[in-house]
Amino acid sequence: MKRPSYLRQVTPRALTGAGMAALAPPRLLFRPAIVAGLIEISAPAARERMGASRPAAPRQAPPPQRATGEEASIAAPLRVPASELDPGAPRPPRAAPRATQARMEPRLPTFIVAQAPPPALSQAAVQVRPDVPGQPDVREQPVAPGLPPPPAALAASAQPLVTRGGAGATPPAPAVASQTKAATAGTPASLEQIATAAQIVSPSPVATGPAPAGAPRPAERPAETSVSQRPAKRAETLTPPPVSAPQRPAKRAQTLMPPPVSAPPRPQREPAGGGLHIGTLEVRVVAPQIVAAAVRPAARQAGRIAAPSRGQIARGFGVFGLGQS
Amino acid sequence: MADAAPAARIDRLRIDVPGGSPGQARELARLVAAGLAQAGALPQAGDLPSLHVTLAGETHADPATLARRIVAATLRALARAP
Repeated sequence: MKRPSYLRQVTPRALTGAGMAALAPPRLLFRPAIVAGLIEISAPAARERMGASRPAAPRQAPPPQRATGEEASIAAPLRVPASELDPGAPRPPRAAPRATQARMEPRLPTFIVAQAPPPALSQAAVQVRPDVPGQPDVREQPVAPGLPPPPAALAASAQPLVTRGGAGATPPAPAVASQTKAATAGTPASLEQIATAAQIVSPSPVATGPAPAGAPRPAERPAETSVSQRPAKRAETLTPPPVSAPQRPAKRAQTLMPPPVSAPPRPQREPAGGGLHIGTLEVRVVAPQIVAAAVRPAARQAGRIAAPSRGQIARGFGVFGLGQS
Repeated sequence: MADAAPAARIDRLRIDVPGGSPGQARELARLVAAGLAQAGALPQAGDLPSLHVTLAGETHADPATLARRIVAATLRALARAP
């Protein structure tokens, strides 16, 4: 059901009143319905046809909040409730067509987890977990018995992390998360192993806090596996690593931080001692005649203003010599 | 360009005297710089982007005399400057 545009609701009244649309809503991008409405109204022939032949569109009630086929394919993973992942939970009735359901099915989080399983939950990922006081040590937990040994490259990359930190060191979380991410490219493993890895990496209180005896482990719920893996990615990008050794931040700053951008050198204008500074001293020596000539017209003008009738005679008596007596 | 005492600095000195040769202008600039450096009435601090001094006098006078007049006019302009 296509949602009627705002123009389609407004236009009939505007057309009957003034002959043209009085209100033009702002154009929204990526909305095909709105664009179709705008095209229909901006064309004069179509406007006339609509005003003559097409009856006024009745006001429709807002359609149910259901996405179209394209939107459903995009938003399907977000709208899948967690109860669907549990096979024992009752499914709510769905109104979506079967084609949409078929498109939504492969995007379930369980499929994502099964698609990218870690080949082996490396022991280094367990050993480098930061120690939190009042928290059970993960190193002593049995990690997925029957695990294949970690690849040589992964073991080689994980070993320096443990040795550099020392006995009481707490290696940074990004290294652990990257190891887990690197471990997802190999042979498939069981969902239990993936959940264990997510629990170790995740800094969420569910995974780090002391779990009660009767509480179910997050590994038993596959719906939360992908959820618990997300904070691990966030910790890789945002959370600063715990600092244990004094030489650690310097190394991280050398590796992760970009080189500091130096400000462009400013010209040194001020004296170091802070005395008198003159940028440009311009001296102009002029001749006295020039100065007198520059002053003389002004004096003449001033005298004329003071005595306007000086040296003049009345009109009609302009005889030479009369004015001088 | 005249580099005065450590307490004062002049980036650029321009002297406009009609009817002179470049050698005379160079000599006059050196004398003016020396006179300003030896003047004791210079302000202790200040930053002036530019200072214009205009004086009327005999352009063909002795360079030393002309330099002393220029220095005196410059000091007066500095005293009037904010």
